[in-house]
Amino acid sequence: MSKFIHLALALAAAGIFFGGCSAISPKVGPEQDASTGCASSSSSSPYGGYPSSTAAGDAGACAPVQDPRCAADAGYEEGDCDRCEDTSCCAQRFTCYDDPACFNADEDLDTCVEDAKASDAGDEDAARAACWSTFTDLPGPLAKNLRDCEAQHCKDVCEVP
Amino acid sequence: MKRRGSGAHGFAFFLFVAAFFVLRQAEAIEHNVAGSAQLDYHFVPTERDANANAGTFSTFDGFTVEAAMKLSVDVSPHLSGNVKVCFGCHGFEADMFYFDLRAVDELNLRIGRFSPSFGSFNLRHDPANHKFSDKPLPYDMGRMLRKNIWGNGVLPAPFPDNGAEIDGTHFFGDAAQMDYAAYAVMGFRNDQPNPTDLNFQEAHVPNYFVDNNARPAVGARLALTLRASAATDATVGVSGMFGTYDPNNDLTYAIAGADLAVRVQRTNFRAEVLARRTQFDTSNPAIFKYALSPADGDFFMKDGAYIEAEQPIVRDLDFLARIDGMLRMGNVLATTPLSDKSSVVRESLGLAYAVERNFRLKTSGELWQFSDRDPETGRRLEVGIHLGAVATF
Repeated sequence: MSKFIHLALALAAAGIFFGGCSAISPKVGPEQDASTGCASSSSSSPYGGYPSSTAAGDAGACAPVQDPRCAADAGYEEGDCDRCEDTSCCAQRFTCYDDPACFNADEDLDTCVEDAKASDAGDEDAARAACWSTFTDLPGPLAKNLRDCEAQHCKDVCEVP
Repeated sequence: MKRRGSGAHGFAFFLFVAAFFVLRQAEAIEHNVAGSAQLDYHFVPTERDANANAGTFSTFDGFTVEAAMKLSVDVSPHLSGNVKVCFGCHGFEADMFYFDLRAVDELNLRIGRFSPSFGSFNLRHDPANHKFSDKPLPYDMGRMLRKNIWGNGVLPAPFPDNGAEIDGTHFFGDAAQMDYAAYAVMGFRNDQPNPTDLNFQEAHVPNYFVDNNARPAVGARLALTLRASAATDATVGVSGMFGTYDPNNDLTYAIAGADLAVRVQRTNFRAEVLARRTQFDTSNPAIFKYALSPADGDFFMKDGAYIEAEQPIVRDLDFLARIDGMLRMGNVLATTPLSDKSSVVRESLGLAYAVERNFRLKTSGELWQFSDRDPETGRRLEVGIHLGAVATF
């Protein structure tokens, strides 16, 4: 029954409208190691035959990949906190940014911290700590990993409580 | 850390209340106020500790409320206005705030904030207008299991947007009618550094309700209704939408849909299918689970469909059945448990009991079948139970 429904979904959604042309048939290469950008030896993908790409485009080099968005001239640095994150917490930062929920939680954190600074209500430190607590309450490890890395390497410039 | 301005919590609600009290003084203007509220409890016994919200997928189990108030005003025989403020998981938001300038039945200009015409479920997205507690998966907005890894439905409803729409209806006597709509709206967005999917959360506070790329998204809908009698009819429709979602206008999305609804007395049968093609940024291949294919490797497909039936058992009790699902094909982020071909199918059975005319109890049970295992529990099958109540005025 389940296979039938899967087949019906695929046929109905793709075939009826577009006739199954390549414009709606995405392809992928072999599964790659997330830490290196290299093709995994255990990959079972049918699309073998060409090397995996690395960030630098030197296919087949398979050296550990540094996210190019962490480069100083990549356009993602607006202050000391960003520079410290790119230097010491690159993977944690962009792994968070690439996840919609973590990205939005990080934006909420920024807004919350700014509001805490602008507020005349009292204890700014307590308000900022509450902002970070909300951020790390996000289910999953992404927000916590970023917070832990910043606390270890960028505590002062990122004002981590 | 990024910088972003603060949102406008409560502003739409303030405008709604202000407009309501101002319009009460205008005796010559016809207006109508309506409202609805649904409370639902979603229990997922198969999750660890029966707490689906504790896992990595951030499912909204437990209690949720969806409530809305709508004000409709006929300013003149040709001009009307509608304001709808809803309250849900994101707090108060303006679901509608638009004016209709109607020349004839066949020509109406709609401007403001509204959900553009797409599919048939769009007309029933208010929980008072559908008998299951939650939406079909292709239109799911945050209620599905594993919602974060799936990124919600194909086209989460409602999808209010700022723009303009031309629509109309031509009647062929009492036997048939043709509806059409064409629109230009802001469109969906994603301001992340390397966009890989639409980010529906950017349509809500604390983000600004403005376009991120100065290019409208466009779309259209065409539907034909045939009537055999006053209580028996059938509607078939097709819809499409196209736009770019990144700040540089480089990444496109296209959504196509078809729908069928048949009503025979009080029995309803509905079927709908949606397909979305979404391009993603490939400037950093290392963020993907699979190596980028040199051909047709810069987009994914997300398709969804549902069929459902409503059958009265006795006068106030309806039996409900629905099968819905989604299929995602193409590359995925390295951080997700999804594969290059992931699917989810849900089978639901339910009852809706009208305690009185404007108050209904809802309950349903659902079996979820995921193609990928939950990395924490190893499960592919999940079970969910809904118990809800909805009231209107």
